[in-house]
Amino acid sequence: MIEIIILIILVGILSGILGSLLGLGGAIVLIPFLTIFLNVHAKYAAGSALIATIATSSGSASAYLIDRLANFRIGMSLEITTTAGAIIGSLIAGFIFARNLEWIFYLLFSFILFTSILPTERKLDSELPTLRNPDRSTKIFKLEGSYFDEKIGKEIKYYGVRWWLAEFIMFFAGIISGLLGIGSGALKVLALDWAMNLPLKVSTATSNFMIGVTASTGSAIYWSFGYIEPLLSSSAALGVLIGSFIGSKLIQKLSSFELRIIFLSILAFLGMNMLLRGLIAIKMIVLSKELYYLISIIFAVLFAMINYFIKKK
Amino acid sequence: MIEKIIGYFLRIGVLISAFFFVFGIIFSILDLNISNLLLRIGLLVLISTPILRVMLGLAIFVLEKDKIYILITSLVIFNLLFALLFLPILI
Repeated sequence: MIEIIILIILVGILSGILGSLLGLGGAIVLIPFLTIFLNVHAKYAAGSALIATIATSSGSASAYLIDRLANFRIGMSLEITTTAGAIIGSLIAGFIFARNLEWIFYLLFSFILFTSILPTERKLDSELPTLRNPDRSTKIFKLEGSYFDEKIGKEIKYYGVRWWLAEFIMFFAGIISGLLGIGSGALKVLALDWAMNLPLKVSTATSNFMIGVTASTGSAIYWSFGYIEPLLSSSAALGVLIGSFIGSKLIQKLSSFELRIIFLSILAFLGMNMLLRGLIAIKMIVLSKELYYLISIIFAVLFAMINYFIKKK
Repeated sequence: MIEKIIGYFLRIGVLISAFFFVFGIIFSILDLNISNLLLRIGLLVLISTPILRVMLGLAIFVLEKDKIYILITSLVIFNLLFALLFLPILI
């Protein structure tokens, strides 16, 4: 048993590092590992991933807030729609799954991820976003701040625009996380990075700050259903806390270019994964779980390598 | 300033739950009965930390008399309480 606990803690560390760098909860690492390699039932894997998400969030956001990478006001203001979305997502989950309609969300989510790749890729060329004129929402909601970027070596001032668009994407992110228990981190980063035009590090740090609240929204249901297995989720959470501490120091050593390459490969992985799941759900293809994860990983790695070699100066 | 307060608050929550996790896991390996209780306390502290930080945020905004953010944070708290108290009954 002790070997398995140590293994879960190690995978938790990996998931914590990745999660804190990219603003994700780490379900993307934990769920396939637990279900495929340890044969954990999907519902306990989802329960552990939920706990791991809260651990990633609190662990890294504590550092990001103190280092001024995460923006408290921007995160807080966007939590209105993301929590509302999570509630609606969990309310319609029973209805959706009873009628086998989850493929709609898999395919829709996949479509959004794939279409978001292009604007994200275009931003690979610039280390910081091209400034847009502040709009009315910037002023009303005080969507501005500054942080010290160690890699660039200077203080970066930024402000957020298009608050309503970001709220809309956050609402959808909330629905997805209430419904599928995953993917809300990637969409949150897109809302902050693409819609609000924030620097990438501010986007991933602020997403990290937010995902804990979204995950807490779902925790009462998971807890009452008994999906949170104490030893399993605590071991994962402990690893994640260590990993998120490492990740929150590592982010300052990385350039936005490197971070964005990793983020793009996550978009590719999730997009392919959701596409295959959708196609499996409507019985267009037949694939085992191992195989569709393997295909998604290969696709994501190839995609990241191509991007890296094309764009590297 | 507000970022620092919330940041340190999260750090304290994380350290408390990590403390319970470490001893809970060690006691599980040693097969002691108390382990399950420790793990559950750790999990409850972990889950409640983000919820409490929203409430702490509201308190800070009230002190700063930031009206728009008092409204925003109240809405988030409403959603959170709804999700925690009513959602398990509705589903």
